[in-house]
Amino acid sequence: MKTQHARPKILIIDDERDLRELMKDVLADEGFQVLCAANGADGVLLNAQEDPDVIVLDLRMPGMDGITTLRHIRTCDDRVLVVILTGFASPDTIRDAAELNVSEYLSKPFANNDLVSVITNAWESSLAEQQQ
Amino acid sequence: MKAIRRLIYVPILHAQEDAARTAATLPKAGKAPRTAAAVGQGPSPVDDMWKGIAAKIAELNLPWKQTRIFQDGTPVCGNEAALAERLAESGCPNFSLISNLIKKGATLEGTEDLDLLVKEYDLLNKLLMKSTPAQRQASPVQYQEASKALLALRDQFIFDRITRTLQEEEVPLVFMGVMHRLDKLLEKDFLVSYVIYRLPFRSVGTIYNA
Repeated sequence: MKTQHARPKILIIDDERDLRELMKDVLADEGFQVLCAANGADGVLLNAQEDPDVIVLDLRMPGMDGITTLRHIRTCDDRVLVVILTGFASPDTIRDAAELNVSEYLSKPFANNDLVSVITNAWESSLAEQQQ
Repeated sequence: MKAIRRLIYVPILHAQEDAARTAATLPKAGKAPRTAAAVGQGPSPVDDMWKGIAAKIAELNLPWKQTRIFQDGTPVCGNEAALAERLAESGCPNFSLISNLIKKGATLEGTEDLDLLVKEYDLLNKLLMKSTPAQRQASPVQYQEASKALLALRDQFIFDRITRTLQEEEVPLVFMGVMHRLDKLLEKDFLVSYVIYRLPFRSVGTIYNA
């Protein structure tokens, strides 16, 4: 059973440093506990070590891309909520994301409040499902 | 040399409420599906998805009088605009957007084969009529498997419909469920631009998006 935190613990996996730091600041300001990984492999390891509630995952990364990263994560964690971020959305990646039980698929560029709202919605939906 | 034409493709999620509304426009076959339970007040993630799509489409500055819309689930019936208006009035955000685009001059084209849509509706209806928890739990997988073959037939019909009805100089604007593979057929003949804002999978659930 996954540990439930009062406020979601969020793991950001994105190779773009500036965007990663911006998202970290925005989410930390909202009171979330935020962890960051700069690539897919580190993200898989951090997920196993830190047991986050929500992963914010960039699709296009050098080396291990977002979908491959998520496939690795899903082999041992089918509960963590995942929000996909992408500037290169396509039906193929959408279908892959749907099969990997993604909560939300958000297209870049997005406003800071879009990110907060999407994560909050996904988290609240998850809590509501567990209470049913 | 054949000129490659532009096509705007909008992958969409179907909400339970939309499935019930659309089914109400099809010929009756057995009992009607259960209607959706009311969701919370205020804008839902699905409404937000449609607002975002509308904003992104507005940014495209399409030539509306030369824009032909193809919509997932809209049968070829000769009455497409009235159907869209009725669904828009019922509060369906997908058709509210289409209704607005029609008012700007766009044309909604009959997109799907009615017989195939009725088969899909019957399949979904059988799934929703399952009564025990175990039956309901097993059903989405069975439904998705059966729906996949039907989806391939629907996609081929839609592709043929687009290529046959599109006039010279027209821009096709296609709203299609995320699990359709129509994009694979279209990419051979069109330069496809995708319009995506957000897709709230978890809020919608998977059953209507097989």
